Amino acid sequence: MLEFRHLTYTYPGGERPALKDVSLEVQPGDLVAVVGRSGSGKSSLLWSVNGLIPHFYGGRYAGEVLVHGVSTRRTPPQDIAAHVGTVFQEPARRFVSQSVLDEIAFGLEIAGESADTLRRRVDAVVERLELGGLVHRPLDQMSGGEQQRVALAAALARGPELLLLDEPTSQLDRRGSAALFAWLADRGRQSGATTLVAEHRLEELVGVATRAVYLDAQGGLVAAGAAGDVWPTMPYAAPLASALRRFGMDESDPNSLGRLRQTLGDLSAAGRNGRKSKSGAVVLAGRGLCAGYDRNPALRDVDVEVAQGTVTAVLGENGSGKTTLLRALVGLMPLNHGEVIFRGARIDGRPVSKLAGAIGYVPQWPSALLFADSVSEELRFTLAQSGDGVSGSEGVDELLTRLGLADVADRYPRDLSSGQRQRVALAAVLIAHPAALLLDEPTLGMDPVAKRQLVGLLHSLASDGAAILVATHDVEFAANVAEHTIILEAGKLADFGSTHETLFRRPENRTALQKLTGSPWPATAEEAEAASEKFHKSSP
Amino acid sequence: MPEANATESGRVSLADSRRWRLHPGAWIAWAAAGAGIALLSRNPWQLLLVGLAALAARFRLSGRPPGRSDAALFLGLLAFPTLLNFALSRTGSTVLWRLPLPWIGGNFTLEALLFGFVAGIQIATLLAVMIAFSGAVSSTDLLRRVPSGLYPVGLTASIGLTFAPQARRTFHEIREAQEVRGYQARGWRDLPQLIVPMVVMSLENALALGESLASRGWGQSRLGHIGRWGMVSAWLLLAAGLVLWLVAPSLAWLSILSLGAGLATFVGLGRAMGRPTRFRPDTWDWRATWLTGLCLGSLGVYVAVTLLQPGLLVYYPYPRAVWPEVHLPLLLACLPLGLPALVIGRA
Repeated sequence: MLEFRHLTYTYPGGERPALKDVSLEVQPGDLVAVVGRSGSGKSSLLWSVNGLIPHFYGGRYAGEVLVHGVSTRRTPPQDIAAHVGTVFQEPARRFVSQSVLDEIAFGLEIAGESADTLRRRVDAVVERLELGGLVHRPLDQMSGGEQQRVALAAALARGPELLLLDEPTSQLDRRGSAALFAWLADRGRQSGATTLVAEHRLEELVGVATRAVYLDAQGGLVAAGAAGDVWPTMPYAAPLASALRRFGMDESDPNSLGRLRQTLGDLSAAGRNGRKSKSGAVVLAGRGLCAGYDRNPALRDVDVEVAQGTVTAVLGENGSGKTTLLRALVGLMPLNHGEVIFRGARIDGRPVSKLAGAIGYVPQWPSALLFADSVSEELRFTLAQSGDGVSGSEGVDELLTRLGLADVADRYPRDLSSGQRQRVALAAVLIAHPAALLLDEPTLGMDPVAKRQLVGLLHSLASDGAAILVATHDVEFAANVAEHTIILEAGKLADFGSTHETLFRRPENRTALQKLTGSPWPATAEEAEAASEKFHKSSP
Repeated sequence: MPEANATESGRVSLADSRRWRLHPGAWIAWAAAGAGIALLSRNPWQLLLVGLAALAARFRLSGRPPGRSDAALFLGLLAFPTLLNFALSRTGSTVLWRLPLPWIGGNFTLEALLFGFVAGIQIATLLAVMIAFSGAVSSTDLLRRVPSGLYPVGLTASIGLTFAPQARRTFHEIREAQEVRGYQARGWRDLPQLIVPMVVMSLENALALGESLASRGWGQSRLGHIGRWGMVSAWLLLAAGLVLWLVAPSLAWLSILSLGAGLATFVGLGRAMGRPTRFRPDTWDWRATWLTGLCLGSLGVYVAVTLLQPGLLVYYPYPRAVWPEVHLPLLLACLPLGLPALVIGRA
């Protein structure tokens, strides 16, 4: 079906190869997880299959990729598209129309499908991806997750034998991710369709991926084979496997999960539900927030408070109003009703630029935030705006190191991978030390190691007194980082409370450990390990 | 009017959304006529009429009256060439102002002002036509109509058509991003801080669209090996015909022969490829027939006047400013461009 033969590829102007001597084979029906750290060449591996590498990007290319025995080096991407469907990151930039149905039908039309087939396939994919409620809405008025679902539908409608997905769940809620992977697994079993998924969220892949490919930071192949054999070779793991490792249990032993459940149950019964709930003075608050279009309000009478020294997570399905809430708080979204209060003073209606030093905001796709010539220049630009250019510049290197960006300090920010860009944008805002920090999907495109670093950084900022609000659909991340959690449903506040209890109250939001133990605590492997150490220290 | 209805199960049924939608082919004829007249004529009355027709179509499509940003855009387009020509040209006999300085000084004339102003009207008219066209026809409408083998042209057209809305979004995103980082543009000197990221992001968007189209199979030829060579031959014949027309007018018969052969090959190959399917087929109705016929007729009139009596299309204020002439038949020939405002429904 698909074969890589000693593929080595370097982008034009690149100093080192993005992919180095990659050789592997993929069989029909496989669901292959392509994993590795940010910048390890996962996306490049996918683009070498659909022919964008080398036809679209150019660069230095050695070796060969064969799809059904046809070399992608000698066949243009337009012809390969008959067999290979592709879903990119940032789908909004790649839509060719404004309408959901036209976008889905486009690929089928240019393939010359008959009118009947066209209608049938569009209907089928709309039904399968539950897009019926979206077909009336223009694409540019949808949330990132909704746009991602449309992009998936457009790729799937043509029924490709091979599907390439670049971080398809990065903006999907949990239900959407689970439904997608279930369908992909079904396709593989029933019709022999093959899927390659570049993904950081291992918890979504474990259990559905039949094979895995693990790339190192230099684009070299570390391991490829049956998924169960590849996971243990990686330095990081999905939540359950991570917990097993932390407790020294064998990941491949089927009895390990039972032992882990027992151990965690003991910890839970001991009542050491580690994280203390902090509650400092309220720094930023929204009261009765209503925002959005008249006919389709995105926020309906939402109250929110973010206290000093705490991290609060905002969770909700795609289109539930998470982004709108953050934009309303920072002043980028006009309020139809309600007020925003910062340190006791009403700030709604004030110029956003005047609040920038006090309230930091990092949007979901931060590309527009980056316009300097180098990563360190980005941070110095912020310092210059805050009038702290000289004294603050000492903190630049330190912050870049804390965010794992020291190696790319002199690189052009827009040339970095999406996960790295996300961290640069975060650094560019954090360097001003805002009292309140609003982050929209900050883990988008981040690998698990970078995510752990981010959790550490946010905890350290919170202990320095920052009030942090994080919109995310990554439940494991929320459980790791936040003391409090808000759940939004269709623009309304559906639940609020301590993170463990709030996540546990809603089965669809439970973490992997909560599902395993049936108990709200411990929710993450890190918590379990920390509690276990305490438990053993205090035991005689 | 809703575009489509989705039932509870997710099945999609199209409503009668296309009833008032004019066929994209008719819009292409309309845009060709509007842009053609705006390029051929320098008569401000004719240009103004075309521009007003385009604005009427635009606002009929959007259902919104012109806003302040529209007014600022068109005033800027009028003001820039007017002031530029006024500042640089020293020709003309009606002196409005004299600057007694060497090199940059001299007479600043009414004629220079008028010449620049007419250039401004011409640019604004062209833009008004293109804005109305981009509001009426989606990039997918255009992409579907680009002949096989014309991948770069289709891609360029698609990027061109999506450029204005993309640029508006990009501008908005950059302004927001700069605001949240505490940056506020203070004047012209800060313009590069806005322009540079806009250019970079526009290029990135164009690249993203290009890779998306390529990976979705757009540009894939449905012709066989012989058909592909036929397509290449058709393009070569067309190019040869045009070059001959321009460089050797005495060989007009050969150029017409070459153009005709190229067009015939295109038509033949188009038939061989068959009619592509459409999810939402566009309906060619009596409005499309009339509009296309009348618009192409208007364009034909202006092309004929350009060849036979070009003076009717020219307004030249030098050496002494005079009122531009009103040629009633040519003004009447512009009227079909106003038809879309009467026969289309709101988008």
